[in-house]
Amino acid sequence: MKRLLGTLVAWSVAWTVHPAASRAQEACPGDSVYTSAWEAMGTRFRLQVVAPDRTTAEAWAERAREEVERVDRLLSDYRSDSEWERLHRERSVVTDPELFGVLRHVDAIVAATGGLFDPSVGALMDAWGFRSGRFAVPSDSTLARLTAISGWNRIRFDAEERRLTLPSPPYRLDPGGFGKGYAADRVIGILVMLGANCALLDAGASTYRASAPPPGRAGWPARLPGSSSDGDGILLAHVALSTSGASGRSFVADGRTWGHLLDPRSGRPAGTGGVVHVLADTAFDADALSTALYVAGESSAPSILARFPGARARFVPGSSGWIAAPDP
Amino acid sequence: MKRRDFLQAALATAAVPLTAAAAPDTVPVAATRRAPAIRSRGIEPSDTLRMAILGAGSRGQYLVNQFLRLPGVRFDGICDVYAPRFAETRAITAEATPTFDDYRRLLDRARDFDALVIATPLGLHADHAVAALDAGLHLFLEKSLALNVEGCNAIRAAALRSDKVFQIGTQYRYAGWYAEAVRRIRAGAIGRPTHIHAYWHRNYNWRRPVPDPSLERLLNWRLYREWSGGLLAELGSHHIDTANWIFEALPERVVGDGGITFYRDGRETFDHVQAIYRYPGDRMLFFSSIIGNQRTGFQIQVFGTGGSVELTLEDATMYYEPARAASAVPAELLESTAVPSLSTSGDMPYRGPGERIVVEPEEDGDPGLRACAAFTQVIRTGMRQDAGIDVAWAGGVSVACGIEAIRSGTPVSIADRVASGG
Repeated sequence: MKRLLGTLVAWSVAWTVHPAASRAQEACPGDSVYTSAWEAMGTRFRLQVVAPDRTTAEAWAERAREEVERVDRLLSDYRSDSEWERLHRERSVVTDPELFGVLRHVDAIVAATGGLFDPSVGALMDAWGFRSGRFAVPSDSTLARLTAISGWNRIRFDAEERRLTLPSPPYRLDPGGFGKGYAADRVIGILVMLGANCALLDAGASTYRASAPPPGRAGWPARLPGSSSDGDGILLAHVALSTSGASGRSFVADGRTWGHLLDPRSGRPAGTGGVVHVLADTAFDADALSTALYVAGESSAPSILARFPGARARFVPGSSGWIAAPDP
Repeated sequence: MKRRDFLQAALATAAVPLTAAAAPDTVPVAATRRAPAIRSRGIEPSDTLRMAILGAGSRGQYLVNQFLRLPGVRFDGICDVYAPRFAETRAITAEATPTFDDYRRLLDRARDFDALVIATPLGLHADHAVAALDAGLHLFLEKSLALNVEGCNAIRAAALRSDKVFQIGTQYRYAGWYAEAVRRIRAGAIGRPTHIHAYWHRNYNWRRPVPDPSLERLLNWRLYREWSGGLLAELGSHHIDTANWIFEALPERVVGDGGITFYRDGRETFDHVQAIYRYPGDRMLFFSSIIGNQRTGFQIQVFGTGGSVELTLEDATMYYEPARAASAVPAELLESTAVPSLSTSGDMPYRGPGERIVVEPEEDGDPGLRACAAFTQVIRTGMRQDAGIDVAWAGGVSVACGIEAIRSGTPVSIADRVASGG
């Protein structure tokens, strides 16, 4: 389906232009934007790409779908044939350089966020029912026990053999904090290699990854989910945007809403509502960082952002608009 | 359970491959040979397997990645005629793996490798596989075996004169739910299997993005007859191999047809094909592949006198016919505890649930990885193979004759082709 750009940018809102969008305008392989959407990884992916014609756009979109499917077969905790589930079934596996590298990168983010981003909360996610959908508030003793057995530093990395070793069950890793972001990064990287250098991919509007903007524009328009005004938007170019909040998987019990973003220190849902938006170079980092900042809260954000050069965050509700690391 | 234990257990219980006893008299299908072990050549099973990839496109890269998930495997060679594949594949090996732009140069260095993976276009399989086997390499060859019967026979002869392991890439031979379904069929769970209706229906144009028009035939080789057998070979080879497995025989003849109805974009291979294979005893396989409608997806419906099995890419489900005195249901099933799951009035299709096959954890997981693991285990231990040259040859000949039938629009006698050597 062909959509001319003019129809896309008819938003009656004040646009924030991300600094990266101000770089020199790059040539796109065409004038028209083509949109393709599909269901994957439990959400709705949408690719907008500038292409010379519909056939080319379809071939690029198919390549994008293939790559998301491939990443899903790597990281999915819902399909038994994924490499992720093989690791959890066998507990100690030699794996491919990709998964080893992905978890090494997670390792660096866990360290940089002081453990506020920690995917080893899988057993706690199960106890709250966030994976199965059978929600329940666990007892204090259950939370204490599962929090004690969790912890990223319990994974063993053997770089020489490329072996990953997990503690025994119920210890479990949750890929939710970076999987879709990694898929978005991979897709944009492949599209650039194919010559499709002007594109925006979003995974359920909670994760965006943009390459060069469409012709004549400063960036790709994206809506900031959960923002106060209905159409609060942003223009994205050469950047990723991730939003974390309790609005995704959550349930109501005991008179309050329990969101799926757990504080790894307590094993309990973090935050008191609202959302945090993060801009970073990659969707992987943006996804992980938005999760960590949601857990950390606004006051702790600058010190964490200091470990992620170029990243910025905005808390809604919040006091300070887009915030970045303090100048060194 | 240790990894080796699980693999051996999985393979030991898998159903038997096509054997001489099960094949028709006219078909020279050799008994499955025991593959030689590396140990016999003075290499310890714990030693690293040095591998190379010939044909590092999307499938080749997938296989490199799968093999790198196994202990003691490394890639020391990447061979392709399209230079961008080198960087793409090095991104997977995460090191500066040596590259070759001509397979003859790669094979000149055969002593640097233990095993080769070939994932080149189908029309090149015969030249590449024979050269690799004659160079003394263990060989994992992506399916199907070869574009024509002559090519299949040449690879089979090379595999039989080699003392190395040969494995074909029909990975569903290693799917736990397939193996369990075949076990149950062998045990009589659906009576006598007589018909298989198999589908792979998709909705996309099968065309790869091409950075420059001059690369069209290289990167979109699947769309051109010189190197490609089209949908029957690239998609249907799984279904045809599964039918050979279930019927324990080579088909006798095939009729087929197809056309281009969705994508009139200059492609030569059909965008929809249908083929009917006749097996000994008037048993039939119907295969259909279309790429303009995906509702049916991938499924293999096995119909027997007492029930049915539905195989998909992720599971298997059993259905039992209602036991009626005057029906074709065997007496032993009438007495069995299998609960009839079909209850339809009039002749409406049955839409109720069946009995989902549950796979033991040690047989669960990605069949593609299990196939690669089996290849390395066979090399190291010499244990029996599930997708060796006999299975590969039967599947390859079935596919090659089907391609001929579809292209010519006339029936092809597989028995005659095999008897005449191609």
